[in-house]
Amino acid sequence: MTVFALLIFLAGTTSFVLSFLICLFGTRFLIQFLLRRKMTVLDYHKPERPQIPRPAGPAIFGGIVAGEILLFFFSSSYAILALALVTLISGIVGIVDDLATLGGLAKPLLLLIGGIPMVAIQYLAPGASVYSSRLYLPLFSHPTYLPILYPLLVIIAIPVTTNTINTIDVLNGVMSGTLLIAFVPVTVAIIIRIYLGLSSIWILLATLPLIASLLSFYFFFHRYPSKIFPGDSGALALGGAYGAIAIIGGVEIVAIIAILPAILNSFLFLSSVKKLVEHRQVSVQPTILLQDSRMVASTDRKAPVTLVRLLVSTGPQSEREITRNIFKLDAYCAGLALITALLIWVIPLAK
Amino acid sequence: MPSNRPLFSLFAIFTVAWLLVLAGAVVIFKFIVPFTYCHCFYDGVAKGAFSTILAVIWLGILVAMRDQFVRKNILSKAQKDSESEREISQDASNKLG
Repeated sequence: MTVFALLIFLAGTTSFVLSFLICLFGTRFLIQFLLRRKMTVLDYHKPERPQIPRPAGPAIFGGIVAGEILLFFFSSSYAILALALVTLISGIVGIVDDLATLGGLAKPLLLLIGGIPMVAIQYLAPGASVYSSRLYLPLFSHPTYLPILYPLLVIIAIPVTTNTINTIDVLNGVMSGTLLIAFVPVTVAIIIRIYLGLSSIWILLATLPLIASLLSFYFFFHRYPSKIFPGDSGALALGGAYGAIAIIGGVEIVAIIAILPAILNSFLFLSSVKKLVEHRQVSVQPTILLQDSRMVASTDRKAPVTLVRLLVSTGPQSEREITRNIFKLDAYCAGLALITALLIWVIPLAK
Repeated sequence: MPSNRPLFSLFAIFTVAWLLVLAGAVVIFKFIVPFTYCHCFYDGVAKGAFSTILAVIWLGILVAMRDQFVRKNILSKAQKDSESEREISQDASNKLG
C-alpha cells in the first residue's frame, strides 16, 4: 500500500467516524438539553400527540463541519474548506430561523451569504479549484464554459437547495431519508468523474462526513417515530452541504435530478400559494388529519398543492405509508439521476 | 386500502420533469448561452429573455400537469362525494315527506 493510499484511507475513516460520533452524541445531548429547556414541538401525526425536542441542527452541522475541517488538514483542499463554510453559514442562518422565525423572503436573502465563501475562495485563490465554471451536459462530450454565469449560479444555488431540502422536511425521517437516497447517484457520479480524471479523490472523501452525519441522524433519531426534529438549522445545513457538494464535485445536474421530489414539492407549493411564504403562514392546510391520525387530501380549492396532498388524494394514509411512498419516489428519481450520470459522462465517451 | 394510482401518476410527472430538466439544461446552456451574436449588452439581454421564455413554458407544462392531477384525483372526488351526500339527503327528505 502506498503512502498516498494510506493517507486517503486514514483521512476517510477518521472524518467519517468523527462526524458520525459528533452527530450521535451531540444529538443525544441536545435531546436532554432541549427537553429540560422545554424547547419542544407537537408531533401532530401521532395519536398520542407527543412533544418532540427541536432543533437537532447544531449536532448535525457540528458533525459535518468537524469532519470537513479534519479532511482539510489532510488535503489542504480549499474546496473542502468552502464546503465546511457553506454548511456552517447555512446552519447558523437555520439557528436564527429556529429561534426567531425568519420571514419567507428574509431567509433566502440571508442564505445568499452561504454561497459567497465558494466564490470568494475561487476568486482569491484561482488555483484552489473550488469549481471549474464548466457545465457537463447530457450527450455532449465537451462541457460548456460559463465564466460569468457560473459564479452567479453558485450564489443562487445555496439558497435554492437549502430551501428545497427544508420544504421536504414534512414527516418523520423524510428529509434525512431523501438526502441519503440522493447521495447514492451523487456519489456514483463523483466516482465516474474521478475515474475519468475530472475530479479529485478528496471530493469523494468530502461526501463522507455528510453521509456519516445523515446515517447517524436518520437511523438513531429521525426515522419513524422521530426522537428529535432537525429544525431549520438541520435542514438548511444539510441542504447547503448538498448544494456545495454538487458544485465542488461538478455533478450539478445529477444532484438536481436526485432531489426532484423535494424540488417538485417546493415548486408545487410555491406555484399554488403564488408567493414566498412559510408553511406555517398558510391559512388552509393541504391535508386533513383524521381521528385515527391518518391524513387525507383537503378538497378546499384554496389549499396549497404539496407532494403529501397528491399522495393521499385517493384515500387516507398513515404517516408511515406516506413516508414509504415518498421514499419510493426518491428511489425512482435516484435511478433517473444515475441514467443522467451515464448520459453525461459515459455515453458521450462511448460514441 | 388506498390505491397506488397517485403514485403511478407521480412517477409519470417525475419522468416528464426529468426530461424537461435535461432538455432545458441542454437548450439553455449548450445553445442559447454560448451563442454570441455580438459582444454587446443586447446579447446578454437576448440570452436572458430566451432562457426565461423557455423556463416559463417548461414551468407552464408542470403547472398544467399539476392542475390535471388535482382536478382528476382531488376535486372530482370531492364533487362526487358532495353529489352522493345531496342524493342521500334528498332520499331522506322524500321519505320524511
